[in-house]
Amino acid sequence: MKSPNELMIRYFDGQLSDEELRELQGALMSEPELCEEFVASAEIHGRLQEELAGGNLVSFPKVSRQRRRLPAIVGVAATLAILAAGWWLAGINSGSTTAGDCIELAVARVIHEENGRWGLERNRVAEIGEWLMPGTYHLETGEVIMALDVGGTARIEGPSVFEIIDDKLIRLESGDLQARFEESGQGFTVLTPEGKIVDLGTEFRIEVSNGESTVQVVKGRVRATAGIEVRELVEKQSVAMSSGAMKAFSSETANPIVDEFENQASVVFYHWSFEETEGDHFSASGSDRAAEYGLKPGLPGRVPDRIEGARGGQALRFSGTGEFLESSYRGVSGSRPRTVAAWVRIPRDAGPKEAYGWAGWGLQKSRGRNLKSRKWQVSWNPQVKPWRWKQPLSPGSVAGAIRTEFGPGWVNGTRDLRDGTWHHVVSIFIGGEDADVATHIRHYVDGRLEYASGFQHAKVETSTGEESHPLAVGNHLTSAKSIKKFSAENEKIPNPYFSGFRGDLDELYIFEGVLTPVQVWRLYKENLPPEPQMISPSFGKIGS
Amino acid sequence: MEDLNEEEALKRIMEMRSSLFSFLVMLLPPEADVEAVFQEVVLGVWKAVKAGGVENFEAYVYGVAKNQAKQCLRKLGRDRLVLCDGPVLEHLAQEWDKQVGFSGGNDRQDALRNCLGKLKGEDRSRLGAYYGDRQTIRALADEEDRSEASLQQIFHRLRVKLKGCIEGQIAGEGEPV
Repeated sequence: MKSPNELMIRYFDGQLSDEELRELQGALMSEPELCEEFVASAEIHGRLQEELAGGNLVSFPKVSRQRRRLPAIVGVAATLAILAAGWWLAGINSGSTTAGDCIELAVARVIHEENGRWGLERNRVAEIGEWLMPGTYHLETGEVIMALDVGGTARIEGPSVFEIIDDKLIRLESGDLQARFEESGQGFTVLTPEGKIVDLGTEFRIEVSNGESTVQVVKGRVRATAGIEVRELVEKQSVAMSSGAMKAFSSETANPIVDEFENQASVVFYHWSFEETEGDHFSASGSDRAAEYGLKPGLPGRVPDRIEGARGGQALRFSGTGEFLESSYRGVSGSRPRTVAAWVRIPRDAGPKEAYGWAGWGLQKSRGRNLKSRKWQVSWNPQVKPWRWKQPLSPGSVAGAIRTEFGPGWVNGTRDLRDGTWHHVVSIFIGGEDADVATHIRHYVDGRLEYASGFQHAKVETSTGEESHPLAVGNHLTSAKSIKKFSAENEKIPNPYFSGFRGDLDELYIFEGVLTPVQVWRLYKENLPPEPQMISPSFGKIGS
Repeated sequence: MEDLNEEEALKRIMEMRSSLFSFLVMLLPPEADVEAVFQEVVLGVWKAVKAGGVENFEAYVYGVAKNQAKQCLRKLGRDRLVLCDGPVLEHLAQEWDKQVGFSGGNDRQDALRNCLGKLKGEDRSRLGAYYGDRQTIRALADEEDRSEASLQQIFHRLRVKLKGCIEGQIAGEGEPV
């Protein structure tokens, strides 16, 4: 038989049988000292839940324990050295939640391959949908086209040896690389044994063999450096670099990269433009079930005002006093890939209570030792708990930046969006087994990759079951639930946490797949989503 | 009767949030959705204030919390045994009043934060993994290659230590953990 004290200890962990519970009940009633100890322990147990449970409502800087063995974890000293050199780790600023908790992210994804085979330690075929970490790659045969997170596309022909150093830097040791960048990818640099080529908004091809690197500009401009010689090259110009010198030569024009391809199956997506309405419903377009997924007011009669849209047409203005929209669309489940995109405009004086949200769905149960919140939310980062102003919600993060959260995990961008102007925001989750909020999310703001100012790990398992909240726009999922209760009897709606998004929102898209950076750029520039069959798969498989 | 409007009432509840939340955690079983119950408490108090005000606001809030906890326990108790049946709940609530009191703001939570900062890194890691990442005792025990029982004892000792530290901070002693 367990002692009452042991029972008490195990009770907090939810491990007692009915018989043991009865024993503990009796002991609590008959042993004043145990009762005293139980309450003392229970108070701390509750306060620790309040203090340490991660996520949107409460958080605490994560302690330095390294729970997971992440690839290429950089030690503190090395991190400092890298930072001192002014380098970013790929994708995540090391000035994040925990000193030393630095991670490297995959920076490119294979979107096309023909007989591609990785050699040496990988020794396997290249797979469409696989993500590439920084590291050295030996492409023995065939061809691989990669979507680069920073906003470009690169085609490599085997045999080639290249090293991905970070998201904007590749070293081509030998072989043939052709790259094209959108405006967002400018500054991308390729090092070769003979020189350096910096993209200035262009498409170019580099071949490295036999002590010579040739550079050919297909379109736009590059800056080529060999030794002390620097040249700007324009369309159809070519140079050969060797032994620290550069000379022009004529060559046949390389064909542009074709990075579009047709997927086996169309990716499901929905679009709410807020142009078309049926009564107080805002219609959805996109995949087959769009007709069912219109957004309707979460509170009867409380419809956001309509204003001029970010791209012409109409947008919605949320007042931050509780009105929100909801749909019967249940969102993307589990750890399947997803992309949420929208135009948002946030007033300069928007406060933390007005941060949530642009889109969210899932199960919001943030309390209870054995309950896990399984919601997906995209918003801006309020940074402090609105009800406790001094307490940071996401220590070290930039307030006002794009924020994606799942349960207790989150990742925040770097740019404060509260400037009263329209911004295009995109949150991409690459999905896959063991996918983690900290490592598997990419944010883009105005078409450009957004680095992270802070993150907290959480394995993604979004719930879309019956208990879960379907898509909600304009409010925090917790608030969306409670606000309905309040509003049933009251016109004025108080909320203990978040009062609702204050700002404008337009052109909301949810893709059940992962857009490439180029597709993100086009969505930003032209408001044109890719064709569903042109969205590449993402297995979330991250190669090392 | 306290002259509070609804907004002021809401603000006062949120100032009590940490203690109120811990109180509910104590009364409800580990699997309960404490946040949902907390929101019901807020709603109940808000309605009462709107309907004409309450006397002794903080005691009233705790009264609503107790009632909401009872309702939740009744629901959960249909399927399984719960620790806090009627007498046990009242007994624990009385002890809570003695130790923590049915009043006050976030002083004790602020004290806890200070106390956490004084713990050894190893212990903070454990607490972070258990309460923050919600890892199970079993998983943590495996990771540390020790028995579940010994880890439960470690957590118990940490809670006792933190309790002592909080009391010291509140009493102005600022004692180290």
